[in-house]
Amino acid sequence: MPVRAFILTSLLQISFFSGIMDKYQEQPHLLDRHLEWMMTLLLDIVRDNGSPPQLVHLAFKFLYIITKVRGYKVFLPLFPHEVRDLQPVLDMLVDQNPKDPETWETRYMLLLWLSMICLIPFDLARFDGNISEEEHTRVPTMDRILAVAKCYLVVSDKARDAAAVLVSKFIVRPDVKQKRMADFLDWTLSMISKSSFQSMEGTVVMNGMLQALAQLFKHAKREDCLPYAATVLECLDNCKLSESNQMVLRKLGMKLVQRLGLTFVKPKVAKWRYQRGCRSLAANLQAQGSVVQSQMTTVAANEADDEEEYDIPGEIENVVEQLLVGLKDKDTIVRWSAAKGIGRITGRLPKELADDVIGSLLDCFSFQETDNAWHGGCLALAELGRRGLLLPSRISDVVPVILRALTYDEKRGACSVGSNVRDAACYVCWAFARAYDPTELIPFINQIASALIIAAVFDRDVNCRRAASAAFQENVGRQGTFPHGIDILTAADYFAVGNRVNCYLTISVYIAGFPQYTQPMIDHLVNMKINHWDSVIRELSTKALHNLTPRASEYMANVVLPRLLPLSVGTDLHTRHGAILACAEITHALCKLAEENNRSITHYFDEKSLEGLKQIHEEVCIKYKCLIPFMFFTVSAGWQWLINDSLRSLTFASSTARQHIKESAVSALAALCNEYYINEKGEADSALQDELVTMYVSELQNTEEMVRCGFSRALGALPRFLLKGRLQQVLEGLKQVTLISPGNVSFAEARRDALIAIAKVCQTAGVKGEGSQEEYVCKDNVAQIYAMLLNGVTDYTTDSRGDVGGWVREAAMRSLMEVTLLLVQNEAELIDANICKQIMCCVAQQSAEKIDKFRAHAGSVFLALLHFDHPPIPHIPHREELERIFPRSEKETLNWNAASEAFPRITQLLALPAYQYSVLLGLSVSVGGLTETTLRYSAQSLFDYMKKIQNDSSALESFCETLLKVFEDNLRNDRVSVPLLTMLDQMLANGCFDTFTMQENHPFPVKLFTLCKEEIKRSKDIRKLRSSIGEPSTGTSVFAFPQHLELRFPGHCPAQSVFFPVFSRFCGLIQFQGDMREKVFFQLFLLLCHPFPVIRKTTASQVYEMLITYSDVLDPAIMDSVLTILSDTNWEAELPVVREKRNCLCDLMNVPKPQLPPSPFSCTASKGDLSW
Amino acid sequence: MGLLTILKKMREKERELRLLVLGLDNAGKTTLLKRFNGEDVTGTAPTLGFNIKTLEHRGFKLNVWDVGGQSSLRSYWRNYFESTDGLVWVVDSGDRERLQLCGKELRGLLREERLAGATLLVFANKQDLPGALPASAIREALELDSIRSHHWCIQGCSAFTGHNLLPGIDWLLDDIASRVCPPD
Repeated sequence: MPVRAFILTSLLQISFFSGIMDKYQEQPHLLDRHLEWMMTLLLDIVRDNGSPPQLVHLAFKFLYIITKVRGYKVFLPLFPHEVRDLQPVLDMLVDQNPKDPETWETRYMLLLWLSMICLIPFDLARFDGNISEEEHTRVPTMDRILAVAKCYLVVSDKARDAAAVLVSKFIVRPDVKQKRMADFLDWTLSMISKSSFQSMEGTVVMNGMLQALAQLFKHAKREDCLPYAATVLECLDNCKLSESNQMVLRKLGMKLVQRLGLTFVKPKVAKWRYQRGCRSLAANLQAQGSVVQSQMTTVAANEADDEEEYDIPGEIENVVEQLLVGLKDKDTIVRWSAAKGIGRITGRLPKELADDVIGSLLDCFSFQETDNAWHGGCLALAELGRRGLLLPSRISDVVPVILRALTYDEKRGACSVGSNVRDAACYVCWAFARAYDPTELIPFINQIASALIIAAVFDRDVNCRRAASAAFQENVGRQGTFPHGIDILTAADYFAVGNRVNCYLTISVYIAGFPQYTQPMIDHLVNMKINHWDSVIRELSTKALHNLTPRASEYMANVVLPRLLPLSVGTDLHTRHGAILACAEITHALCKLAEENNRSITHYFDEKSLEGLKQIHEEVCIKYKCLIPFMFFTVSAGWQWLINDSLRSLTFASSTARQHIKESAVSALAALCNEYYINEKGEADSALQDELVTMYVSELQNTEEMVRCGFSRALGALPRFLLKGRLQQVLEGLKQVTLISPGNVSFAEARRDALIAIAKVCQTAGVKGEGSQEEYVCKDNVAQIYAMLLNGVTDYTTDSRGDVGGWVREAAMRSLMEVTLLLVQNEAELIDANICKQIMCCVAQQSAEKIDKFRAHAGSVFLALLHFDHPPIPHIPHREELERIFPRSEKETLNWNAASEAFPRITQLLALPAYQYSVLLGLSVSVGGLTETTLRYSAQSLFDYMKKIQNDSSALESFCETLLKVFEDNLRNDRVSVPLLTMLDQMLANGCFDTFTMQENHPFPVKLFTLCKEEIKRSKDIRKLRSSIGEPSTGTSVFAFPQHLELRFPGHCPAQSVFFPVFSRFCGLIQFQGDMREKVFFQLFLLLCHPFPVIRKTTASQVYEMLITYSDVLDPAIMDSVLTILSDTNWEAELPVVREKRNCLCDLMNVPKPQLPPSPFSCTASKGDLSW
Repeated sequence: MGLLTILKKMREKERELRLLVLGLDNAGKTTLLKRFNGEDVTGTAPTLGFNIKTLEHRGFKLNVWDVGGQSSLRSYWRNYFESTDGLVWVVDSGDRERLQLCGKELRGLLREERLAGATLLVFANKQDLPGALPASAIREALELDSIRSHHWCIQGCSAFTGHNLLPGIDWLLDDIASRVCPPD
């Protein structure tokens, strides 16, 4: 196979294979049963002398992919490790190029393999034969291996890790140890002292040396290492690795220092290793196994306390000190390493020294320390606990610390740290469960159980909740003393605690049913969670308090509420927010309780609490983003002020909170009015009404949009007795909001809310045709109401947020529908034919527009009006035809959102004279729009319609008339005219007007041309210009042009000015006979000298293409010369040059030469005037 | 690395045990291993070097290391001591002459720091052969009752026939599994 092909296929194979292997990453042990055959297969390739080197490398790459997933430790024993493997593997390794970046996997695997072969229990000298006698130059095998190992310890790729493994297995061999260990250690120490972690190379070398030493001191026999340990420790101290910012080096340092520590002290076997915290289950199983045991004799090891006394070397203090510092390291893996080290070393120390370590360890838990120290401290405690090294006398010191760590949460800016501390604290609890005898933990069991439950249910982070649940389970299983352990565990298992809302609102209530947990849970929420930095937690915990109230109503009323009340007026915003919410939730829950038990609410609230609650109302201000749950309090005083103030302060709230505040304030207002502002006769207090309505109406003219929104909606929520006699004032006020004036163009949300409010006011006031316009919707004001709403449907405001007018149109349509349905159900005669036509037409127009969401809304309104039956809406134009187009059976299934369904229907309305104008107006925006699907379906539907009327001249005439009218009405209205031009372009290209091309000087093209000319006059929008010359059929390709143009002329042509449809129009118009042609050419030649070079160039190429397409428009005799000038001229050259060429064309084609207009129209591109 | 990761790792580790099979040469160590592994036990030759077998038993993954027992290899034994959960000492119950040597080698092993805490299972092998000493005699000869440092158990068996191998191994697994403190 050729080399390149081989490389290619092998790359493919590698990615395929690692794709399979990666799937095992989570549970790599599933690979175990397949490891052997995979290995055999691959090693067969390696060992086959006939395999080309590339194939061998490929096999090693595959092996590496497997070890990467499974880990090399599992993999190692599978390597063949017979005597005969030694030489070939060593030879292969020596042949490698240590620097080849393509084949490091080969080196890595070979080194690992060699480390396995090194375990053969034979003296290496036996492989060397009689060297000394035969050839002096031959190096002994031992030194060859050592040389390879040293060589790879200083490389920067992964082979270095394997070299460290090799060293640890090789140096500890009895023969090598005796001859080479001292030398090797000297070498590593001198390498270390020569390098610095400040440099790249130094880091690489130190990494290799530290790995080698750490592995060596781990695997070698303690006695063998002991003589060197002090020297190595000294060298390590001199490195000052803790100052390095290389995390890996610090971690390796931590590993090595603990290995050295372990070398200084003898191992001890934990005497209780079979006994503590035994699961009762395990005991049962052992009883069953007694049959077997009777046949055998077991003698338990002597557990007598025979602690051997011997001197602990002074170095241990240094080592422990370094490990304690390592616990506070900024990187987790370093802390982990340190914690394990603490555990291992303490396990070998005599009691008193071990206890000293624990004493220093407890220093990690102070409030000056960082979360890193807390985390490291917890890890170390857990390691000690797991090994049973905390004496029972220390448990009383440790438990309070752990309880604090279980809820550790330190604020850092906008969020907090500490989830790792809480997780580690769970680990401690888990370890205690295993290591301690239940009797030792009994005094603390209630505290630990409550704290774990609280963490399992109320922790913010899912991993902590799960860890706490796991620790709880371990305690239940091993200690068997947790109150109601099994029941709780069933409710709060690993999966159940995954869902936080469920934890807070459901599981907590269940657990609080066990009395010993109720109060700690409530206290935790009040002390730690209602002031949490995460507002979701604050709100959840207050809801939880609500749900927990029935479990401890007296406690809530007598202890919790009094504690919360002062907090709710404090200075800390989070606390304040949480406390207010909590007061509200608890009060609400207590009210419900009182209701259920038929008790007075004062059963739960004493005078002081009530006073406090009132005070909250007065103090609370919306500016602090405190969301007041208005509905919960039913005691008055200051309410009106509060609601008004919230509405006024909407501006200060975040946009998400705003909507919520507005809704709650408005609904509270309605409740409040109904409750307090009505007298016995069902009327309003007139002074109060006057004050309220006047103030609200005046706020409608506030300069803040949000205030207008709020008060519009508030007016909409006023009950009937407050509107009575004031209806005109309210409607007039709302009308002012709906009007667009120069100062408030962007106040779309205010206009939307006013339109919504108008419908609400109408609904509240009710209908009475002959009634007073101050009280009812009646014949005197119905026209005015409709005028406001219909005006809303024409709101096309856009700003930086996009089509904000869409909100207004949407609200206007909904309100139109609501008011119309209201009228038709009460006094249908108030709807006259004209109004009904206007409504239907403007909704039809919206149903043909381009934005899916608004079109769908319009469609549903249209159908709702059409299909309303109780009673039917009178005067709907063309009702019969509409019912045919939109049969009731499809009311539910028709999807207006989908352009493919909406446009085929709506274009059918073009045939209905009443709707033709509106639908065409809406349609032109869609057909000429930019969205691919909308464009495609709307255009297709339009063309289908055009094809249908092609032979019906009256229909066609009427269509064209309407089209021209739409154009004329929207001249210079870019929202409509630009897409309209694009639509015309496409219609021309699709031969929609072919009938007219036969007639000389047909009025339609003439009129169209005039309008086009009018449209581009003095226009600087390039897209429009380009489009007007553009060849119809190339319309789509020109779409990409504006961006291109924008890149070349930044600033000259703002992106939103989209001009080009006018251009295409001219070229399209060429096909019409008569004077038209000359006029078109004249216009095009004007553009050939446009101040923008790019326009000149485009015009030239478009004219060129046009002439080729409609070849009959030119005398064949001059065709060639014209085309040559068009194609050979550099139209981007200086204007005088270009003008000369253009004039040649004029002469050739007998078109009058455009003359330069007198100043001030002399061309300046920056002004964007067209220079003729 | 959180508690859940630790638990996951630990669960994997707890299910994975390392057993070291040692004994004098010709005690039947490799035969024992082969019998466990369901291989053909006839024609087993002296082990030159060492074997590693991975077996599944009762949900445990056993990494069994079998090292040759010739006197020349014995000095290399300690290369294999690391993180050993259980030591299986195999005795040729018919080899009366070397019982004393056998006991001496075992004593030596039990003094090893790195085997401290490991569980000891003594197999009194070759019970199928005539003239084999019973387990009780071996126990006496090896002075097992004086062992205080390790949990131990002696089991008469035949690696060749497979008799009584399982009860021995099961005891070993139970003993290791019932520890709550991890060895280092």
